[in-house]
Amino acid sequence: MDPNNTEKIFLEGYDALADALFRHCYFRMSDRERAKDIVQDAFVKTWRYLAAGKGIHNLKAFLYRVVDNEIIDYSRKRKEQSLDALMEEGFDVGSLDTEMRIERLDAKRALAYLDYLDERSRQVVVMRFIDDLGPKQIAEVTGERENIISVRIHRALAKLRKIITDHEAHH
Amino acid sequence: MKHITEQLHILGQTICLTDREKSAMRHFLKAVVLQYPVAHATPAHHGWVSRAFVVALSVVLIVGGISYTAERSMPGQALYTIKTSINEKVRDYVPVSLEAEMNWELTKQERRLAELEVLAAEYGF
Repeated sequence: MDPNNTEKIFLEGYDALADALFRHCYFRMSDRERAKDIVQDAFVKTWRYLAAGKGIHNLKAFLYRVVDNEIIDYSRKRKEQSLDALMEEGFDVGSLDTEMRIERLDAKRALAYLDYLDERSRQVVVMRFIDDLGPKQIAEVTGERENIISVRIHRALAKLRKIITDHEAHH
Repeated sequence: MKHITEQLHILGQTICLTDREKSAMRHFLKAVVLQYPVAHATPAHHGWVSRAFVVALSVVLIVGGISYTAERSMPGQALYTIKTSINEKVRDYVPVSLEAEMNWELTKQERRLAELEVLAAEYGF
């Protein structure tokens, strides 16, 4: 492949996917700065892979996979945070329009609930409902079969609903 | 509380890098691109072709060298068999006309006579 073309594809990939990857990392880790670092590292690793003359068939799936591996490593090291601590800490929602502000409290709670899910359930919930990836695209990233992903999404949602029901029953 | 998937979707729309963050990261990545340029891709078969060419060239040079040396050999020498059994047999197939074939037959007889003359001079016949 022409080196100039490789560079062009890579930078266009950055422009198109940086926000989506950042959002994905943010909802997987609830840590804005860490999410930024992981996205940047993922793009650097991807470039070094391309620069070594290796081909990437699907840049989007490749980047999600790199980011996913980083998140799993990070999650293993991360200390467990309590739901209440996370609720107190809040999160930076950036600029919201009026309608979104109304939803803000519920959205904050939703983010906190995600932290109660195990890593694999959280992974598919974020990919499906935040990143808007279909089961087929998620399967490409995780390297698993599409029907396994569909089942996992279904089970993860059931877990999330139970967490919410239980939590709201106690408050 | 609204349906959880709807809330996640709404929340997802609110989170993004600021323009400044995005621009700084792009700038950093452009520096990385300059620091690690794309390696010149080597076709997978390139090494194989090179090796095959070197082997073929070596065979041609060795065979050619032996054949050339054999042309100067005399009866009784190790390479004389190559001269008569290989070099001359190969040349038997070269002439394309009857005239050329006859000329080659005469040349072969002249070569035998020349060899005899050399041997006679050498051994004082």
